[in-house]
Amino acid sequence: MRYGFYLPTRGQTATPGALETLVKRGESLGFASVMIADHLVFPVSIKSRYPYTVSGDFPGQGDVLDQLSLMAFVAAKTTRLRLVTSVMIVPYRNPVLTAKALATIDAPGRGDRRVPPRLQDALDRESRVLLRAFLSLRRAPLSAPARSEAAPADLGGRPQQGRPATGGAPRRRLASGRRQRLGPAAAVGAVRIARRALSPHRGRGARPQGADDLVQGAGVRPRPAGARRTATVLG
Amino acid sequence: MYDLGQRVRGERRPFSGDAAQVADDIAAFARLGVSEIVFDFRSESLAESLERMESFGPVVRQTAGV
Repeated sequence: MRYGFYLPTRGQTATPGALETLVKRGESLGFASVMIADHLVFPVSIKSRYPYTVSGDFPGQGDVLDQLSLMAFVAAKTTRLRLVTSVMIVPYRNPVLTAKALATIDAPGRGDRRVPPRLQDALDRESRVLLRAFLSLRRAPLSAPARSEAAPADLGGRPQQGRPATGGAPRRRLASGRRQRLGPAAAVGAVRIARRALSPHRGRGARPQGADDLVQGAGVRPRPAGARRTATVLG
Repeated sequence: MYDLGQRVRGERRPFSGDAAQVADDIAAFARLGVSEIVFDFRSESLAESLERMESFGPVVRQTAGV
């Protein structure tokens, strides 16, 4: 049996000194991995019931740190722990920048590989579908006045009381009251693929890969040298 | 790992109790095919977080071969 532990991402224990202490202590105690949660935004007030506390209250307080920035910090503090995204709210992120950040954290030549090596392979293999899903998602944005029935936690697959972990395709409510699927490729597909890609237990092998490879793998034709590549990917 | 001291419907919460009880829970999960478990020791203070993490140290060593 292997064990992991969560790092705080907010509150009094989410300071550089405290985080380093926790990482090093966990490493010395024999833990194998460290988990970092993802909350791009955090409501000031949460009335929804949190399923993992007896009271139903969401624990913790304070501003929340960015997942990948924190992961880069932790990567510099440990030599053995595997870094794991407990959940990544993929639809809110630019896929190329996300892949680039992960590839940077897992930069080759460090001497040890901290992000699960299979991540790279999975991104390479699935990048085409992933990018298509994100491009599709851009056509049906998760933005007001549309309202997604699925909470961000749902998209990440965390179990909710009374319904399956991942549920069906998220829907948004149109102004007319009619509910419209966000498109399986856009929402569910993107999350499922990304979760598979980010799982530390899937795929095998690894090779260094950056954003340029991801663009090529997606079948997007790069513009001539000197052109803005960002526009090529997302336009 | 929230509210470990509280019982739910009169029962001990999984992974709560002393090291032996936690080890028993882990063994049960191992028999179901679980090979990695992630715990949450977060609290409002660093001292408490470390205390919770270190209290789990014996369980890590005790169940390393499970």
